[in-house]
Amino acid sequence: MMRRASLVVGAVLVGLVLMVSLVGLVWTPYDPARVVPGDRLLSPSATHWLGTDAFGIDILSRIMAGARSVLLVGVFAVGIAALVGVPLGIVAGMNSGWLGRVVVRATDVLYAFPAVLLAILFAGALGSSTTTAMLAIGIATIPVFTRIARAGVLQVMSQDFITASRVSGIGWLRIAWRHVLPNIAPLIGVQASVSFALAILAEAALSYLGLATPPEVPTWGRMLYDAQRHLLNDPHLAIAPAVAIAGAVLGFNLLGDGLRDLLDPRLKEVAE
Amino acid sequence: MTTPGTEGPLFRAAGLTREFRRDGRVVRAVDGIDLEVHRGDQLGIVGESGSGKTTLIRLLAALDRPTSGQVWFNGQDVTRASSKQLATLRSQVQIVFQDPRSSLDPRMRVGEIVAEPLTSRLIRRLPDTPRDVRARVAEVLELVGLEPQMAPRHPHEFSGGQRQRIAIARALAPRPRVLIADEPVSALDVSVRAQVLNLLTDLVRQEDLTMLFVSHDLAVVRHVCDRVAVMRQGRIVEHGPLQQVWDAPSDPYTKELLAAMPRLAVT
Repeated sequence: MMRRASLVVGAVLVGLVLMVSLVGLVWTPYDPARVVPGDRLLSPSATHWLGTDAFGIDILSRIMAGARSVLLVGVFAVGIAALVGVPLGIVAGMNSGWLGRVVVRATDVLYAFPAVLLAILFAGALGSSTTTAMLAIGIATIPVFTRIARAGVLQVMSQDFITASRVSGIGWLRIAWRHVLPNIAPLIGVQASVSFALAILAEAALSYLGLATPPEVPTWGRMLYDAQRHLLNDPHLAIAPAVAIAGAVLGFNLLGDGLRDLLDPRLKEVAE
Repeated sequence: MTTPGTEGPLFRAAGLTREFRRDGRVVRAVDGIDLEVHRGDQLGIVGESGSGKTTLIRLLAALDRPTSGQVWFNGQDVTRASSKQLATLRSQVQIVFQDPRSSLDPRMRVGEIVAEPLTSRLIRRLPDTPRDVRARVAEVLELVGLEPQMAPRHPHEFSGGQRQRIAIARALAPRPRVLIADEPVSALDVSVRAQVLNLLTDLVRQEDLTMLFVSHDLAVVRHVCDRVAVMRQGRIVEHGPLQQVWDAPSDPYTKELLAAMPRLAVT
């Protein structure tokens, strides 16, 4: 029952974020970039549902516009991490020689770098932008995928169907593509969902530090940063982006958990 | 029927040894084995778990390389052969594994599983390989007593006995000369063991196969083999015609094995 619930709640939250960002692409109640000095720091009301910020910009509009860069960073960061990390993990799992060992060690080294450190490095080299954030978070997430893929590969490689392929002289590339990848795919999917949540969190943190998106582009992390100065008098400025971040992160985490339970038959047996 | 250049034993092993390192200790899984397998032999390899049976067949099938010693297949040294040179062996030697839950990829359809050996780059080029993959898949599925219409289904939709039939069909697909069966009925329900064993013996006769049958159970081996090699701690302690070993075992360990067998009052 609980397992079912986390999947449903997660899917609903993620769906909500997706919907808000899609709607935000074509329509927002107000222009999320237009400064209206007369409307500064308005409390939530019928005209401005979530109030306005220090520049008189409608907060709901900014949240909706900000959802897009959250998803953008999440998709690209997780995409980079999975596209690089999973093949590395497959090599590390299938090759027990020096190549596999080198990949494992290199992964360990990369694992020791926090995303923030990488982001500072990249911001120094490339300037702070959404691309910088995507690259930094993506690269910092590579080892996570390498490790989970390798663990899955080791399990698959111990199965007799791999030996059966070898008996017929099937090459290792084809074994990786036809047998290994399909069998570790559920594992990767779950990890992608969980990493997506972490990427959203990291993007918010980097924006908050001014290392990601430039000020004129609305993001949830940036909004949190801007709200800081008005926290005592106008807490509503911080609450909206905070709830949005928490909701999105919770959504992807629950979805990941739910998927894992759905896809892992061993857990299912224990539960029954 | 002998084709030119294939006189002599099918498999020959000399001084075959395979060591594994475990926690700094060296374990000899296979310890100086000499063995000859001739065309048409039905050789049973018997021993308790850990006696080196599986390591031996992995060495014979060139899935593993020996620490020392050599294996010849059809007169060709396979211990140092490149993967390309192994094409003949790959097409002529197939294995049926113990547990079909592990030997059939759960993500693949039965048709794809059975077709896999035929699509191997190594095997595909050989002149004897069946060309029409779909027709051959249907043919071998029928051969093992399954319906060709089952090809689009996944392994989990079948019972244990049926799954082992699928594994046998895959092994037969490239028209092998040698079938290695590694405890092929140990993971199956007792009720279907006899069926699968009978299927194997029928197929061996019908397809004129040489069989290596690995088992911990002498009673099962007696059912399907005409020769038997008894293994213990990486060595062959007794080797001979089955009836002789059965009636008058010379090695004390074989006597122990026979004595440990539950016997019913049948011939």
